[in-house]
Amino acid sequence: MGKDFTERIELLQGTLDMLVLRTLLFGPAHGHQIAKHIQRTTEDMLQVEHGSLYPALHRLERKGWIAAKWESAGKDLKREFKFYRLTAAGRKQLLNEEVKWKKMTGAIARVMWPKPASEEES
Amino acid sequence: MWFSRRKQREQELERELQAHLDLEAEERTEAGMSYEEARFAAKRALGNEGLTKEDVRAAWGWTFVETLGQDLRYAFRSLRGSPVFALVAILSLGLGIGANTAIFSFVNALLFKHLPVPDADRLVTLSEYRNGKHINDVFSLPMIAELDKRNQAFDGLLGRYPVRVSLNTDHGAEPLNGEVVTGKYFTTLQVKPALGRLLNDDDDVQAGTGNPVCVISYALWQARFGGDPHILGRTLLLSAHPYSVVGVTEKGFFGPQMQSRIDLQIPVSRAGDFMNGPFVTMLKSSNFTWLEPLARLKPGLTLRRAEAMVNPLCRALRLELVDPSVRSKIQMTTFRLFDGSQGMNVDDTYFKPVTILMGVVGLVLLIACANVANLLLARAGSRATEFAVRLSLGASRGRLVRQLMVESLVLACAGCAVGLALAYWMIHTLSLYLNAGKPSGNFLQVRLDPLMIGFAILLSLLTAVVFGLAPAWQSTKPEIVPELKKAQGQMGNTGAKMRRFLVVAEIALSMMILFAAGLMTRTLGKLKTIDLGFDPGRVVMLRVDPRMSGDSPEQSDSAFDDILTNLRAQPGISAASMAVVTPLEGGMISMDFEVPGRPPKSSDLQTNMNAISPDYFKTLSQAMLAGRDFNDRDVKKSPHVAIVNELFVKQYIPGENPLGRHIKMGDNDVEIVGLVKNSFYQDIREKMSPLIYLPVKQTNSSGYSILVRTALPAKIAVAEIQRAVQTVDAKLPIYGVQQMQEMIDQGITSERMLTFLATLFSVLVTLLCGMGLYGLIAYAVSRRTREIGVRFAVGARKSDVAKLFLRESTFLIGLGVLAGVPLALASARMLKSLLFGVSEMDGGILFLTVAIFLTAGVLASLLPLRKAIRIEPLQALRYE
Repeated sequence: MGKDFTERIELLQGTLDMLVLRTLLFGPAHGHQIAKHIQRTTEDMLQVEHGSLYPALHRLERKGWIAAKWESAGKDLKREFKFYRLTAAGRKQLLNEEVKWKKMTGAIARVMWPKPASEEES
Repeated sequence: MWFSRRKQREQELERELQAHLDLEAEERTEAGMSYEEARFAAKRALGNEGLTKEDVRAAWGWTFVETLGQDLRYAFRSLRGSPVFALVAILSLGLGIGANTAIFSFVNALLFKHLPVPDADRLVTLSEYRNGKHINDVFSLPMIAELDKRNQAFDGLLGRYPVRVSLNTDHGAEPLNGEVVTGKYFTTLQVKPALGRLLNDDDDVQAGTGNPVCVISYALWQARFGGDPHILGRTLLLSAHPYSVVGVTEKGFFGPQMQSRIDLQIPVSRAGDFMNGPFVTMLKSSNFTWLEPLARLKPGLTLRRAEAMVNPLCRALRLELVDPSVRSKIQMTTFRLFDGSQGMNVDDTYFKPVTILMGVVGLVLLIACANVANLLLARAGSRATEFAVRLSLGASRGRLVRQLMVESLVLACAGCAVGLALAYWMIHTLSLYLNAGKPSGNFLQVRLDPLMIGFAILLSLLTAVVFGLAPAWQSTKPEIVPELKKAQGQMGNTGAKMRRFLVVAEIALSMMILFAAGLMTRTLGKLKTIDLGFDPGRVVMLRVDPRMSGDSPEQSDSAFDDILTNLRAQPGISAASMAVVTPLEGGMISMDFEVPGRPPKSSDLQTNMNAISPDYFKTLSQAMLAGRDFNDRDVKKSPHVAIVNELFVKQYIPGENPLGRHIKMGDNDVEIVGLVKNSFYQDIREKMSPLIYLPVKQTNSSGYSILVRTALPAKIAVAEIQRAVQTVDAKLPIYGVQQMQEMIDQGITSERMLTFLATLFSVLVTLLCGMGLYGLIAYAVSRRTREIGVRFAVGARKSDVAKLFLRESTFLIGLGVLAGVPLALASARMLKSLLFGVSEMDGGILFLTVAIFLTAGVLASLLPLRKAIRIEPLQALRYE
C-alpha cells in the first residue's frame, strides 16, 4: 500500500489549510475521510500526517472557516464522528487562497519554464 | 467556567483521535492484518499522539495560561523534589533582597522624602559662609524680618526656634516639643488648618509681647485632647503661662524638620516664656543669632538666581544691622541657599552608617545572586539528561526554557516574600537602634512603603531573569545525542568555568564584608572597654527645670538643694549630685582663663569646664587624687575654688603641685583645691582633655542634670527618685530619666548597629561562600567518580585522591582571597572615619579574615572529599 516514502512530497507550508477547505467543498467529512481523500486524490503523493491534520482542523474551526458537529455515519450507526463542513466564511477563504495559490504557481512557473517572448506578448 | 468547557473539549479531542485510529486500524484488518497488528501499525502510522494533542491545544489558543499553570505545578513539584536547593536559593535571594530593601528604605527616608507640604522642592535654607567655610545657619530676628520685607526672591521667609514646653495640668507637667515661629511661618510652608486659624503676622507683635496664642498639631490634638471639637479657645498652661489655642494644623504636618515631631507653634515674640538664661533680654537684638530660616522660592526662580538676588541683600543687612561702632571690623561673609525640601538642618549622624550599610548590602546582594546563579547552573547541569530526554520526546526548546524560567520566578517570588519579611524586621530593629537616645519627638521614621515593596519585587524579578535565563538557555541546547550518551550529571565545560568564577567572586566580595565587620568589632570593643575615668554603672541621670513651672532663679536654686538633700536621705541611694554638663552626653562648655606667672599661648586661652555640686566625684566614682571635694560652704560669697584634672596640670602647670595654685577666670581669682583623675568629657571618640570643675554656686549656670548613684534596681530607683523630686514640688516635670551606662551605649549606637549588621552579614555570606564551594567540589567528585575508581584500582592512595580535590578548592579559595585582600583594604578606607582605636589597614584583622576563609573553604571541601576517598573502585566503575 501507498507509495515509497521517497516519492512523497512534503506539504508546502500553509497549503494543508487550502486542501482541507477544498476537500470539504464536496460536503461534510470527518478527519479520517479528509486525510484519505487527499491521499487518494494525489495517488498517495501527499501524505497527511495526523499530527498536522488535527491541529489544522481545530485552527480552521477556531477561525470560523469550518464548523463541526458530531454525527453517526455509515453502516455503524452507533459510532459517532466529528464531521466538519465548510462555512460561508470558509468558502470565501478558499477562494482567496485559490487565487493566491494560482498567482504563486503561475509566478513560479514563469521562472522555472520561461515561455518564448512572442508567446508571452500574445 | 472555561475549565469545564476545557474538559469537554479534551474529551472530544480524545474521541476524535480515537475514531481516526479505529478507522485506520479497520482499514488494515480489512487488508488482512490481525487485530493487534493492525492497531499497532495504525498507531505507528499516526505518530506521536501526545504531540498532536499538544499542537491541537495550541490551536485552541489558550495554551499560554494553560501551560503556565502546568509550568507552575511542575516547578513546585521539582523544587519540592530538591528542598535543600530550593531553601538555599530562596534564603540567599531573601537575604539579598531583604537587606537591600531595608537599607534603601532608610536611604529613601533620609535622602528622598520631602516635607509633607505643597511644592516642598521650592523650599530653601539659608547659610552664611566666610572664606568658603560654613559658619552659620541661624540668624537674628531683625535680620529675618528685614530680609523677609525686602527680598524679591521669596514667596515668604520664616524663622523658627525649637523650644521645650511643659504642659502644666492639675496632674503634673508633660513635656512637649514646641517651636516659636515668625508670622510668615504658615504662609511660607503653605500649611492649612484642620480647625480654626493659623498664626500670622498679627500674632507676632514685634513691638511688645505677641499674643498668647498657639497652634497645636493634629497629632497632639488627637493624642492628647482626644480630637476635642471644642479645643479652639481653650486655655493651656504652657510652662506656667496661659495660652489660648486658636487652631489645629492639618493632618500629617509635623513641623519643618524631617526627624522631629513638633507639637505646637507659638509666636516668636513670646519666646521669653520658654527660654532661660542671660539671652532672654537679647531675643530681639540683631547681635543674637538664633532663628533657623526657611524660605519658599518665587515661581520660576532657580536656586542660583535667587541666591544671586539674596546674597547682596544679606550682606547689606549684615552691615546695616550691627552697631555703627563695630561696622568697620566686620568680616565680610557670603550667603548661600540650599535645597530645603527636607526642611532645615537634617540630622546627618545617620548618613555615614547608612551609606556604609548601603555598600555592604549591595555586596550581599551580589554575593547572593552569585550563589543563586551557581546553584541554578549546578542544577541545570545535573538535569541536562532530563532535558535531553524531553527534547527528544518532542518538547520544544522554548517551552523548556520557559519552564526553567518559571522555576526561577517561583524561587524569586519566594525569595521576595522572605526578603520583605526580613526587610520589615530589619527596618524595625534599625529604627529602634538609630532612634534610641534621641530626644523625644526627634526620630527617624522609616516604613516599608509601597515604593520599596515595588523595589523588592523588581529586584527579585530581575534576579530571576538574569540568573535564570543563562543556565536555562545553556542547558537546553538541542544537542540531544551527545547529552544522552554522557554519564548522568555531567555538564558542559562553560558551566563549570562559570561556576568557578562565581565562587571566586563570592569569596572576594565576602572578604570585604568580613574585613569591615572585623574592623567594626574591634572598634566597638575598644569603645566599650575604654577606661572612661569614672564608672557610669548604677548611675541614674535625670533632668528637672523648676523654672518651667514658673520658679524664679533663686527659687530654682533652693529647689535643687532640696531635691539633692531628699535624694541623699533615701535608702539605697549612695550619692547624689548635679552637673551642668553630663559627661559623654555630647554637650560642652569652655571658658577663658589665665595662669598667672605663665605667658599665655593662644592655644591655652580656653579650656573645657563643668559646673558641679558636691559629691559629683563620689557619684561617678571618679578618683580624687589630692585635695578636697567641693562642699556646702563653697557658695557665691566665699573664696572661689576649682578642681582640675591631671591633664590640666600637665599642660598648664607641669611638674608643680596644683593645690593652692591660683588661676584667673574673668575677674575672679580661683584657687585650685583638688586634683582628679582624667576622664572623658564630650565624646568617647575624642582624646581626654584638660578640664576645670567649678562649684555650681559660684557660676551663673542654669539647667542641671541630676546624677544619682544607687544600688537599687533601675525601675525602683527611678520611682524613688521621682518621689524625692515630687516631695519638693509635685508639679515639677521630670524628663530625660536614663541610666548613664545606657546613655553612653547609645552614644555608640551607629558603631553597634554597624558591627551587628556587618557581623550578621559576614556570617551569612561566609556560609554562602562555603555552600558555593561545597557544591562545586561535590559536583567535581561526582563527575569524576569513575576516574577516581580507576585511580584506586591502579593503586592510588587516598591521600593522592584527596590532594586532587584539595588542590582545586585551595586554588579557588586562594584566588578569591588574592582578589579579596586589595578589595577589602580599599573598601575599608571608606570606614576610616567610623573607626576607633584600630587602623583601617589592621594586619591582624586582615590575617584573621584570610584565615577564616581558608578554614571555611577547607571545611566546605571536606565533606565531598570524604565521599571521594571512600569510593570503592568496583562500584565506581559500574557507576553510571
